[in-house]
Amino acid sequence: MSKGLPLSKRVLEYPDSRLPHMMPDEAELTAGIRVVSGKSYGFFTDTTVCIGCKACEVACKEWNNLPADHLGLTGNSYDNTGALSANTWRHVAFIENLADRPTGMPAFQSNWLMMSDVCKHCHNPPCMEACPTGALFKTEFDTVVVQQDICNGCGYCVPACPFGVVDVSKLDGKAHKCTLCYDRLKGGLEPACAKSCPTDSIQFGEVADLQERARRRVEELHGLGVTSAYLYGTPGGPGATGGLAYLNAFFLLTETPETYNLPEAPTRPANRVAASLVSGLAAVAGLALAALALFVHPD
Amino acid sequence: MTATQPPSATPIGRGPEEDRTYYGRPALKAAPFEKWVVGGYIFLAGLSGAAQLLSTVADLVGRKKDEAVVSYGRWLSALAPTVGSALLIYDLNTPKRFYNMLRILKRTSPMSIGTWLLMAFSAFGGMTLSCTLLAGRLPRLRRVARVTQIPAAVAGAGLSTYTASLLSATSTPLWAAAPKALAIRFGSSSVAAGAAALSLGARHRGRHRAARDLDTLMVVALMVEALATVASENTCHKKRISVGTEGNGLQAAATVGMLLPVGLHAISIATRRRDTRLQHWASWIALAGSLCLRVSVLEAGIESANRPRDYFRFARPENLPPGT
Amino acid sequence: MTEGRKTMEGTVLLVQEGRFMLVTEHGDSRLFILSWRAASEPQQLSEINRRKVRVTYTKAHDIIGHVAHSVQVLEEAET
Repeated sequence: MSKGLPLSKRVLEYPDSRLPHMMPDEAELTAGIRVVSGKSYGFFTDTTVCIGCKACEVACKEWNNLPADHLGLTGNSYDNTGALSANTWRHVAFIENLADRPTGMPAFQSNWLMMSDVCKHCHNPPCMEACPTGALFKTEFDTVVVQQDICNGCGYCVPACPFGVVDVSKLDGKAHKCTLCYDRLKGGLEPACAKSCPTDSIQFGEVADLQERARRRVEELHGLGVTSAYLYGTPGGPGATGGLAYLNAFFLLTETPETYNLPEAPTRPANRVAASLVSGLAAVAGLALAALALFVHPD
Repeated sequence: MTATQPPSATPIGRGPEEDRTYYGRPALKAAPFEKWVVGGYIFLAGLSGAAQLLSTVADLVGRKKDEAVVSYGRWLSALAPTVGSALLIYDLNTPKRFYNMLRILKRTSPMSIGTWLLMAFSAFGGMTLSCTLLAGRLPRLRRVARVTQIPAAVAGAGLSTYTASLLSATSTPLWAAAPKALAIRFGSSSVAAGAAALSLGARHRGRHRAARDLDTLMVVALMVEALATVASENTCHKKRISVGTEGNGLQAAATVGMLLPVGLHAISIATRRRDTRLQHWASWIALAGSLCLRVSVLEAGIESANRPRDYFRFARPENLPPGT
Repeated sequence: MTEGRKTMEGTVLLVQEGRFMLVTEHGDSRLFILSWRAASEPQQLSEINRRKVRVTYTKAHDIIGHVAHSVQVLEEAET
């Protein structure tokens, strides 16, 4: 059994079930850390303990006042959310191994995989690098947020994202995605999804701490015989390739990334700007020289 | 399956392991661009930019009596700042905030680079055109135009090809797979369109010698475009990314628009016909082909973003750029 | 673009980005998204939090929510 998060002594300050006021630095009680600006925060999503309850989806919608979308049923297991969108910032994926349904249940995960997907808050965020207005920016918590008072809905961040996260709403004409609960962080609170997660599949904390915790969890799982466990989005691993460096919101997976609808080796699109501009200009310059040779005519 | 076996030994769902997807759902979000609006802008930016560039070259080294061709080019360069800008603003989801594009310059964002290229092009191109128009009253302005046309031509060269970087600097597999080839395709298609439009203008003014030079340039540019198209399709096939679209109509139109003018030109040379109708048609077809190229690339890219297998094949470790 | 427009009055209980929750005096709560065509900007919405407003809106098709086209603060005392 893995040990739970250290419980803050501050819980003793609140013996009653009613709170007289908002707790200062509530994240200390719920996530074991104090949120301060200037540090790097993120999520570690451990899919091996996800039970697919979708509490994260609900908590996100409640806190951020996001409307229900993707109305109707998909027929894709229990996943009726479908994908992340302008109005859905947490999405629980359900993968059932239907191909060879065993008669006896295996010891691990009963052939079910569940994963709560979210914006990865990349270290080198392609959406932010693509944004021509500066609406997308890095906050004091090292997270990536769209400033709604600046975004003009050009939509260029949408194809830039290597994970299909950012989306433009045709209703309000702005780009939207997970803010890692920017407003909650400013108020010292843990993000809504992580706080509501009943199994701590979603853990919130400082990125370096989370990466260390995740490495220990992988070792622990390997020791238990789950040799397929690996991290997606930590430095040097899958998902953190092609100049993305690492993802502030990273995952522990037990199947290929594609199984969870994640690319194995995403790249930073800005890598391609220089090569493309140079070859395009070279072609045009070459043709301009051809024009010069054709037109030249001393009068 | 036992707990000690890696689960990857058993395929989940159907299909070979490396071609696995999540219920066939897109792993990316396609660009929310209107293909005719943005494609129309890319075409006009290319046409204007190349027309400005070619008219500058013609003004610097060409014959004095071909001045009409030069002023045609300066008029054509007004398309991108006017109609082009209007199309760009129309495609925004919050058009009233278009000026936010001018808050910053970001070198990682071709859209930001393009905004400033368009600004510079509009300023210098506009100055060049106004000086040309007012030169009748103030002959000194002719010399001003000769100076301002140079930065306008440089910005025009950028404008005629940066739109390929704009598409390549995304995660859309078809646009990102062959960035250099796409840039050459767009750049040469722009020059072909610029030459075709100027050739039409030159013929209209009876400058047949200039029109023939421009036709030759158009054919050269179209052949460069054809080579880049072959290179780009080869790269996509190697990475197992489908280049086709559902309808294929626009792609076929773009191919016809690229090859037919070359054929018509060849016929006109081979038959030594004095009749200029063939060349006239070749110019119009090349212009239409240049527009179809941009719209079909947009359409095919949007479709490829919605095919998760294409993206997963593109986002493989073996496709990573060296050093990352 | 005025056909199908309705109005609703109530108190704004929650504002997030360009979205707000309105509660009528009967206790119905509705979620609104500020239209890109609206004269108000998302950053102005924080001013209407906990105030009584009248919203002109249309129904959105693909979400459970409404599109607000105009938001007018009612001068009456706050409830």
